[in-house]
Amino acid sequence: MNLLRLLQLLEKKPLHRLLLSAVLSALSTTAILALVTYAAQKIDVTKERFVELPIAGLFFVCVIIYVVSDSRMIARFADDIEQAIDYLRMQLIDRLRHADLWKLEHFGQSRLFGSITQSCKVISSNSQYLAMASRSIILTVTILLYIATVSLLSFFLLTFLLIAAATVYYKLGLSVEKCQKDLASDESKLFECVSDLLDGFKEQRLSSAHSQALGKDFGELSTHTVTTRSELHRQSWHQFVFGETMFHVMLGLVVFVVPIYSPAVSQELVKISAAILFMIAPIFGLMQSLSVLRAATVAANRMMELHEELKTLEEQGTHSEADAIHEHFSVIRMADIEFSFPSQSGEKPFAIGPLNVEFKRGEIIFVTGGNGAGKSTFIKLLTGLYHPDRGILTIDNRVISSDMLATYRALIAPVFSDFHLFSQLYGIEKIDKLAAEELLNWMEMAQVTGIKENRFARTNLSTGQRKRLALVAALLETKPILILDEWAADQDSHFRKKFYHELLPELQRRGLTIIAVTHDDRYFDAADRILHLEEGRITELLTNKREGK
Amino acid sequence: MRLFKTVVREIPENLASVLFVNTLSAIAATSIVALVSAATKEAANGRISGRLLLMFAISILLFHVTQIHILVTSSIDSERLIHKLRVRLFNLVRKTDLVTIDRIGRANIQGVLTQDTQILAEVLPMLVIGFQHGIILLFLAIYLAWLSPLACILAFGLAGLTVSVRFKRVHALRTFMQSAAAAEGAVFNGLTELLNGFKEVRMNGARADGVINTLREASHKSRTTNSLLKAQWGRNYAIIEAMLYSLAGLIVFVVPLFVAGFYEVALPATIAVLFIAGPVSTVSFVTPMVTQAELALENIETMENKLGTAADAASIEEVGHLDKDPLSIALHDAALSYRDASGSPLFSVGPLTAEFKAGQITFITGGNGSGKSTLLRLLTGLIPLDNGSIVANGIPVTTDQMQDYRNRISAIFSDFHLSRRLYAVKEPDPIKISTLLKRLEMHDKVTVRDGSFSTIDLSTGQRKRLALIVAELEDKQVIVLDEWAADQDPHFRRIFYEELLPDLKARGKIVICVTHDERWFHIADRIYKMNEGRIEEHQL
Repeated sequence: MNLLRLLQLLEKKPLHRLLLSAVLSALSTTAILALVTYAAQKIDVTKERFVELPIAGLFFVCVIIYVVSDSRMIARFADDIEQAIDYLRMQLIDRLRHADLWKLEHFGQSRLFGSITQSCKVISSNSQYLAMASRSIILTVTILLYIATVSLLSFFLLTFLLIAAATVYYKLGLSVEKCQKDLASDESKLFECVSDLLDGFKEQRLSSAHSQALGKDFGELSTHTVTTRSELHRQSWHQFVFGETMFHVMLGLVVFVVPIYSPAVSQELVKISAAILFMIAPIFGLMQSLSVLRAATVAANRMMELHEELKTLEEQGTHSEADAIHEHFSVIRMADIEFSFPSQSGEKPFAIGPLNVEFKRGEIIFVTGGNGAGKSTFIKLLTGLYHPDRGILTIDNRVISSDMLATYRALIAPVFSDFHLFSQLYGIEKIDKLAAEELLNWMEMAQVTGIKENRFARTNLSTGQRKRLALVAALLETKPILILDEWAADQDSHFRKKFYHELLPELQRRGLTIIAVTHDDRYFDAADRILHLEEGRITELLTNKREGK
Repeated sequence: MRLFKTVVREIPENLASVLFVNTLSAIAATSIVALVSAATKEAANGRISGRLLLMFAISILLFHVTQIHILVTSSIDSERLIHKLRVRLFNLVRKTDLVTIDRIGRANIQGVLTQDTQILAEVLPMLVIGFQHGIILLFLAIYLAWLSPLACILAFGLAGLTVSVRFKRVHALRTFMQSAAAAEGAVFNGLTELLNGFKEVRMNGARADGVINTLREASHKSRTTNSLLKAQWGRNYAIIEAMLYSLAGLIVFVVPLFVAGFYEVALPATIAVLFIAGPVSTVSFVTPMVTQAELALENIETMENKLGTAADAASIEEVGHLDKDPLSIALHDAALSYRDASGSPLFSVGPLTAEFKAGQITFITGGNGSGKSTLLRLLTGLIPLDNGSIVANGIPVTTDQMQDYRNRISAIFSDFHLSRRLYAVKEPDPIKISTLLKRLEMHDKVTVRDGSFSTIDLSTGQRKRLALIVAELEDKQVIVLDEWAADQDPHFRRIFYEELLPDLKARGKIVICVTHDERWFHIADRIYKMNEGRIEEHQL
């Protein structure tokens, strides 16, 4: 069972401890049962008014032992589970960190999120039930053994009935779970409708027909959800009441049937009845734990599998430290680089290359091309994030091998078109306050936000403004190469002009090499060279050959 | 009690019958207890009573049937209640105006519509069983009192204590739960950063270290807070169980000290008390949930009240109609100020005067923050003007005509939302749809089936094309496009300006576009430029 394997990740022996506490808790509970029935019978038989103090004292001690062992068992087991989760989670994240971009992109983000956050949550939020499941099993066994000491016949009868009832109960539970799945899908449709209303509020205000259709849809979906949930309730209550009734049947069996066959125990029936009543809580608890246990096992499975799978995602060679590449390089070259996407069935595979391009230090190079021409792939190949099928990247005639990739990438500060603005300025050791302020002013963002302790004061801004912040962050890294993917697309015309006519030339003066993907043919004069991508092939347009306006 | 009032108001139909059946089930439960004791006694005297057995069988059956009836009926009723509340709230939101929605906040509304109704749906059935077990306890109390009044007082005193201890402790646990949830949230955020910013992380080893370290701290914090939470939970659980065990201890170790002749009822009293433990545990489990349900109901009611007034005011707008599709729409000295909470103006737009004519393409340009979006919101009647008027066909649009006015406008805002369902189009014409899909070059990516797009999991540019298809299907007199072409590639941008827009113009529509593409300014019949909240006509 993977849940146990999860715990074995720890060096301690958590299961021994768990078992010890569980046994202690179960034994003390059974002792409580025995003492109570003993005392009740004693009163009944001796007809005495006073209570045996040692028995009462023993009862009290047992209650204390129970409280201590049960709460400890839950706390410790939960702690062990949390530790294992923490350990595994960090392992997963560490592997993720070294993953290859291409493989990761094709792995599916939602799967990763699901496996890491959801699975952890499922296991962690149910850890107490897992601990209690083991206790419930032991307790049920000890209570049954107690019954066996009173009457063997009752023991066999009850054990048999218990197993039969548990089986039926479990089966009923399976169809309840199916209902739960239906409900989840109904609810997600209902919630989609809510976000259609709220996110599309303006749209529905502009059309009565739209608004009415939304209202009608929501009403129908809500009714459907009601039906599904009612069915779920019906089934789960049937299951629950079945369980209760089975206990009543057991009681009846003991007080009406057992005495017929085993008259000797007639005096002891109260012990058995009490024992049955004591079993109700652990058995219902156990049944509940079973479904939880299954969910947790599935979750643990997913995490373990992911752990293995992520190993295959690892990018080769980037762990090792290679000799530094001098930041005063003079030329980076892509030589015969080819890359193709595996084709989906029936579609033409997309291939890019062979690419032969040179980038000299200090140049401003524009890359143009339509949607789907391969610009973003080109950028990913140039930054070494994608590994070419054929061909090589060189810097000053040295081939950039896979173990040099990390140092090569360290030369580059990119702002991708699907850039991410981090909540903190990670990776910049000491922020040059003056430079940061100057940059913010330059980007006309000083009024809107500032930098406080390694983070931007405000980031809930428009895309254009966030891109300016991403550029500030990239420039603060002080790397020799700046790569921008459609950076100006979200800027207004004023700032776009400033970007091409003021920012780029100034950055070039400061010695940066700039490679920018762009559509703004009005500003092609800002580039030293223009490369054009079309259907995966690259051609060099001369700056003076730009499209006339 | 809000919950009680709501139940009586919204779902009164089955209350009386459920209460009656509940009493039956409580009587059945009590007789099960009494019969077990009686049979035990009989057996001890060496007799087996057929009469008792029959009564026992009937009691079990009665209990089984009544319990299912109560639980199922009430659960279904509570679902109906949730349905009523949910649909009513949804329709209120639908009828409210944009300003109110923005003021209340979409996240808040979403929270009430999804989370609070969800809480009710999960909690109400629990309350139902809690209530049922409460009634059973009442009858068991009477039975126990009949056996021994003192035993009853002591046992139910302890039971009450158990319920209140659980109540207090569950509330105390909430703080732990909140900090555990916050810690988990931090892990989630860290992971989001790692995955969304993966390219950036790969580009820079130092950044990777930073992100991973933050994650490690978050993961560790999550571990500690979860452990603390669970330890507390375990203590709560064990203490409650111990109190339930003590119930039995009380009867055999304490009550005999005070009651003469207790030996006569010692066995049945013990069994009765052991029986009580289950329902007491349920009631103590359920009681804290009352607070949760009350809170959720309160949120729903507050939201209803907030929306109700606005929805009432907005309903006036649906009364009147425009005579015909307008040949021109205009803003006349329209002005609006955004105000902060205290009412002092933050940013003002206007007075704006601008006219848009049928069969013409009008462009609107202007820098970030110049007021273009506000202009569009005013022109489309989404937010009311502080001053000035909206004019259609030269006549000011009155308040009661506003909804009809809006119904004549299709708009794709820059923060547009694309629904998978084609809500606005009643019976979409499949031929028209396939033509449009082809024309917007989306036919090999998306199909329309059962009034829904097969997928909307597309790039922004592609989703904007689908939004344009929806607008074309709506076929309204006015079409407003806010930076529609910004996310399109040059090829499609050309199609947009040189084919799609002229086509709309030729069909006599009022075409209004916010755009920065100066290359195509020549196709416009009129260009307005926004600057710091003012508008001026740009001379062609």
